[in-house]
Amino acid sequence: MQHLGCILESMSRTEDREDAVFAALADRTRRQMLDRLFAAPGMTLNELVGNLHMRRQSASRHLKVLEAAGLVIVQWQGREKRHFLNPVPIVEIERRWTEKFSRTRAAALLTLKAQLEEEEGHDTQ
Amino acid sequence: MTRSEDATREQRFVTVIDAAGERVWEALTSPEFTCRYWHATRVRSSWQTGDPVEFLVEDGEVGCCGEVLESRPPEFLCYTWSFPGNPLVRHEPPSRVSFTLQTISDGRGASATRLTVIHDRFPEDSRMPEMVGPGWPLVLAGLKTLLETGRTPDYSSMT
Repeated sequence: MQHLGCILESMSRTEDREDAVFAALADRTRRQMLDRLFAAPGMTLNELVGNLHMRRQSASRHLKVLEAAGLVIVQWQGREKRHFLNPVPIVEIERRWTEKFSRTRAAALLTLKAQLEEEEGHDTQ
Repeated sequence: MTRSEDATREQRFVTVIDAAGERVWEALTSPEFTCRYWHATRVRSSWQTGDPVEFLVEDGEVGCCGEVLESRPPEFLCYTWSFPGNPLVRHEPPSRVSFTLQTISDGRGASATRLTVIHDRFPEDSRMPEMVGPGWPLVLAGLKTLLETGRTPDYSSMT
């Protein structure tokens, strides 16, 4: 069996990464950048700046947040730094949360069913 | 085709998994693992260079297949990729998939594995990118969930 400390540490690291993804997505400009990279993969910073009508410095800062969250992958081609959307962290979060809530809903329905059946049992007695 | 157009046709996906590289490697190369997260397919290969790789669907038929180009456990795996099970791309020449596993440390003594999947060398006018593009994130998210929580993705809830 795994040591409890190890389990907690591994959880917190995954949760740290989830925090970074949620924080990165909690900004309209950054979501727009992801939309643009989805539509046109491999844009450089300059191309993104032109596309979004924003300041280079600001775009660069937002890109760093997206990179740190693993939502954008950078690839050097010669002297050009190209940016690609990495959808995996979004799918991971969607999976984890969707599954969590669908299980809760199923459990709630089962409880309701048990309660109703119990009441019905009382009524007929 | 220009260099940047070429780059847009390459598909690249990254995930970080809280598991040792050896476990990630095992999950990528053994049927007992792949059937639990990789669209319920069972992978079959000796993983020797030049040998076939086959992904068997439930009825034992081959869905996707390829040929091992390079295998260096637990760091790098590369094979060609064909999809004879799909009429849309059945007759296309093979593309190429590679898996790069890097150990990363969080500085607190624990380590995780960064898995990078690159799918490239699509033939001209290939329909494969649109087909596998949405699929890889699901496979990788399923792999991460399985190795970190032991849970198998619920395919019925997927759209």
